Amino acid sequence: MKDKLEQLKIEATAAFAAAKDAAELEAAEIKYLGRKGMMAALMQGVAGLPPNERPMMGKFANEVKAVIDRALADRRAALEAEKRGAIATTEWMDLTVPGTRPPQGHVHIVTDAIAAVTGIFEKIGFTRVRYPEVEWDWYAFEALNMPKDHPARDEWETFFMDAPEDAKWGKMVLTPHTSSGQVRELKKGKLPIRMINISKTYRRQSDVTHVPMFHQFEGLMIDKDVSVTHLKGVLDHFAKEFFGAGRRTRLRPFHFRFTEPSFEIDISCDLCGGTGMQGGNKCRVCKEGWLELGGAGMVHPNVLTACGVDPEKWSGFAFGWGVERTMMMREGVKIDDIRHLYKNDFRFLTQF
Amino acid sequence: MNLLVSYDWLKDYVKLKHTPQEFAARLSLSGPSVERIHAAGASLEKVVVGKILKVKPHPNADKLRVVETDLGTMAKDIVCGGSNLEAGMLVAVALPGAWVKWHGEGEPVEIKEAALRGVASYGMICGADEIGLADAFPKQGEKEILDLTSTKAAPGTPLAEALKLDDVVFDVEVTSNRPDAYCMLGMAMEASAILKAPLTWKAPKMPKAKAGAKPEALAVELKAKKLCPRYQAVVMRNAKVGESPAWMKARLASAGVRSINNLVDITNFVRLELGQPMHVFDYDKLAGKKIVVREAVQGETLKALDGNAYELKAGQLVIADAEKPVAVAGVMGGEESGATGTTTTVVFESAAFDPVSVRRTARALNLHSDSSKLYEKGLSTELTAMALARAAELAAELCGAEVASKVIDARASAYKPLVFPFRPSVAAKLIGVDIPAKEMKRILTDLGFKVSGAAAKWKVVVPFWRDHDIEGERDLVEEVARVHGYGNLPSVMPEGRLPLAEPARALVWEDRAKRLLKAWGHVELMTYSFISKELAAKSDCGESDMLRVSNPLSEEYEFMRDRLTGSVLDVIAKNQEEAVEGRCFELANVYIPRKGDLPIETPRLLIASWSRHADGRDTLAVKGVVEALLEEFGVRGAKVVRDGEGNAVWHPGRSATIEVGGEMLGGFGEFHPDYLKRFGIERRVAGASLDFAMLSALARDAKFYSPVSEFPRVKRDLAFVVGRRSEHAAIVEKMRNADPLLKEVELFDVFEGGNLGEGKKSMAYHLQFGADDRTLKAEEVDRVMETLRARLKEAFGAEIRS
Repeated sequence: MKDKLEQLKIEATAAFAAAKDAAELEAAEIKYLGRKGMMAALMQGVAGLPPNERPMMGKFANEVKAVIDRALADRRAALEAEKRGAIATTEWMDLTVPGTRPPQGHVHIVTDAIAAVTGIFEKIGFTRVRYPEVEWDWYAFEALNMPKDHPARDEWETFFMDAPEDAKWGKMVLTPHTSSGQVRELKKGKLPIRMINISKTYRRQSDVTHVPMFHQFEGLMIDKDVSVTHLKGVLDHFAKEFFGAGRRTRLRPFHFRFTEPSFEIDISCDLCGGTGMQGGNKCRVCKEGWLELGGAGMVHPNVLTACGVDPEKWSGFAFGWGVERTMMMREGVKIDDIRHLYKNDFRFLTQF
Repeated sequence: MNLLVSYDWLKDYVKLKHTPQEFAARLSLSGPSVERIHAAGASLEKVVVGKILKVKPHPNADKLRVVETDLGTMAKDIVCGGSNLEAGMLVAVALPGAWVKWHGEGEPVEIKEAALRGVASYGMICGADEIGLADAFPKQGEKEILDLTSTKAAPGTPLAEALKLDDVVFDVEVTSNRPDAYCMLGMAMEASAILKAPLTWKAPKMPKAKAGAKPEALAVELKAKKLCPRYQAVVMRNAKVGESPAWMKARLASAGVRSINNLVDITNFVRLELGQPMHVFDYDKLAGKKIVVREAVQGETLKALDGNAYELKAGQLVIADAEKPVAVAGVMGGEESGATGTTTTVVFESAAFDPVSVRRTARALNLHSDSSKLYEKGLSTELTAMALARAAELAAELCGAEVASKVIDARASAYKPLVFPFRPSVAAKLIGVDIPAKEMKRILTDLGFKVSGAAAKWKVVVPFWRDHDIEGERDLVEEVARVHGYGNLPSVMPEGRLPLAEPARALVWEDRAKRLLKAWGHVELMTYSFISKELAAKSDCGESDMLRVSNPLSEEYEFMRDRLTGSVLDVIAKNQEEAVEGRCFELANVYIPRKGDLPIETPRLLIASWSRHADGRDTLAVKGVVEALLEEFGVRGAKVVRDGEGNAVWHPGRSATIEVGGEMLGGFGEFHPDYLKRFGIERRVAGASLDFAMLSALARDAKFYSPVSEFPRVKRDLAFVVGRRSEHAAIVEKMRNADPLLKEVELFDVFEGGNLGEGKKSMAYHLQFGADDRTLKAEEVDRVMETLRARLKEAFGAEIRS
């Protein structure tokens, strides 16, 4: 019996060692270790031994089985390792084929710009609001210190609605600027104010640099003792956050009816580094090193008064710029015709 | 409005020692903004004055001459085809290396020493248009070359120097409230205050009439005092009309104005110098020797100086003689009464007109001039006298004219200067820095304001040239602040309490919705808020249900849309070649009119999905997006309700509304194929339209938790065949009610056709069973499965497949 076991040990370990692949190994496993295999048969033989021989032979048989088991496991591990070593060849993939993509959508480039602007002002306590696009003349012009005969109130520049005039608020118009939101906010009477109003605005013009519908963002801050220096602080913050820390800004005198003093804000040109010159020629993008960003100013006392806020106690500043224009200045996206933004050609929309 | 300012010219009025760059930078930060700096003579490099010594025939060409020309340091032969060549004449010579435009056309080309028809030519004798001077020196004939004899320049002098073009010209933007700065004197005053440079300008004086000469009669009748608060005129005789001297031409050219003749040039010069538009009439052509300032009679016509006839409307202001209009006031003079080469006696007009009237008239006639542009901005009544004196001075100097009448001055009322209080402390607080009171006073005084009064509260008299833009104390603060220099102010972040303001919910959720839809593969559209009549009709919008724009830019933009459907389908139609399949959305306001109030502006979300398939998969795709969106928004309990009726917009078998809490949130489904056809879309398009105001009001960030059971679930599948109109929702409800042990029901396959038979479909569900207090035994689950089978058989006639 012992010899038989010994013989099986030699035979089985040799057979496992000789197995060239998983199939041969499995065949050998079945032959020696299967339910009806040789080991099982010998084990049955051990069970039939007289009781006094059984323990010793049983122990021996178990030792033999352990050796065979280990031989099987070793060979199996060796074969697997061999196979893994070959995956470089057997499982090679072409990695230049396109990846399996999740669905890819696109938000409109203006949406992205609005989100960026909102985020920058939110950080310094300005809360985003949105006020009516269809607005009364009083909010769009009258309260903003724009006299009745102001050119902007001509039907050449502003869209009017075919609706009856209101005895108190005047004609119904499409607001040409987000500044009407200043009036709405001030009229709420909740002071101090730090607001950013972003909305659609409308003007009667359409050419390569104008669209009849566009977006503006309007900042308004009202508090005690707000001065021009604070306006500079806030605009510097915006310019550096939106355009990059290296950019400089400057205020130039300008004219708006609803602010006084009024400014135009310039930002240093990125293309020529603010020098106005590029390779010996005048920079094709800017004016003497500066780009016009938009308008701003200290809220006119007449506007505060019209909205029921005492200009002797409160002061503040406002600024209102075109989203599209500001965005194009940052991205360096030279959109040759701004009307592309609203043509909704998928070949355009899917670029952003 | 932009003004071209010659630095050299400006120095006639103010003492300036700054480099052009320095000047531009300082002026821009405190006053009118210099947008560009042009070196005027830059294009005239290597172009010099030459003197023709001899004109010789060309041996090989009849139309060419060989011109021996003195170039200062040498004399050279130059081949030229000019028609007006004469010995002794001074001409412009482009030397080798200069750049010219052949015959004034095309791109500039470089001049090289070359042989022309066999004769060597050293450079080129130029026509005015070939070196960019056509405006200043208009050509009389095609082959005329530029005659520079009047410059009396020495041969060899660079042309830029000879024409005083060795100058820089600033392109300056003047804001619309500052017409006073839209001239050389105004610019000089700004420069004087900003750069602390002394003003050297002297006010002009009206020349005296010749003693003993008989005055010419001229009656001025001011009928429209509101539209013309002041009208001044003077008659001058013995004017010799001719060419202006070179200095005048050069000044005008620097400002981009063409020289016409000395009389017209004077009016333009005075406008450029003092900012007062002028007009000159031929005295002998004024019927009745009379000027009437009146409103036009409806239908009157006038042939203006631009050669066109204009029909006038009642209310438009005209200058008329005894019979007919001779000028549209402030806009343009008439051709007939204008000064010509034969004019000898003239009337200079210097007047103030109502800005709004001028603007509206110019706009109505579509006739805009340098005069109307200025008048539209609002000019002081007190500027006219100075301008008239200046014109008379120049007419005496350039035309030899003599004053032949007294200065006529018709005005509506006496002038009262504006006076405002000014508190230095209030100014300092608003500007944010302490500017010494002395400096504030210096600034105001340099700008022409007269300051007096107590230390805390000054009395400031506004100079007449600022009487349209200074309206109060705040405007004076601006004057101080800007001249002090915004660049000199620190940049300070505001401190203090932040207002407690909650961001508008709708805006926050709008942004989230856009990001989610992007992540789910949609392209965001942004279309105009207005739609055309045609698009409205296609989309089934009633014109009377929408707000109409009364002055649309074109038919495309006539109605404020009350839904997004039309706009979005229009975009899909336009892109269908490019995008055979796709997903897109628009989230934008729509406008619902209200009686007697502003319309309701409310955001709507339209989601669309389309492909080549007509099997309803896009409908399910859109529905899936809506379901996912509702889940992200924390909105529960949405119900799909078939309205059963169908309409022109939606597919009668594949559309339904979505309700939450009994209120309609929107609808989804396939658009009716006939509806799509109106837009030219042959494919199927599915869409969902949601009331975004309602959706954002329902949206919740709150999180919910239910305990996770520790006992494993048992999973079984159930497949059966039912009639194709049996609805999933009803089936699920039937199953769910069967037994509390059934926890999850998930549809995983629907199948029609094959050998199922007409009107049948197979449905297969994954089911999960469980209990919170124990592990289920197989028998328990078997029992529930039996119940389910029985219920489905009974309710839907289901044939169980597994």
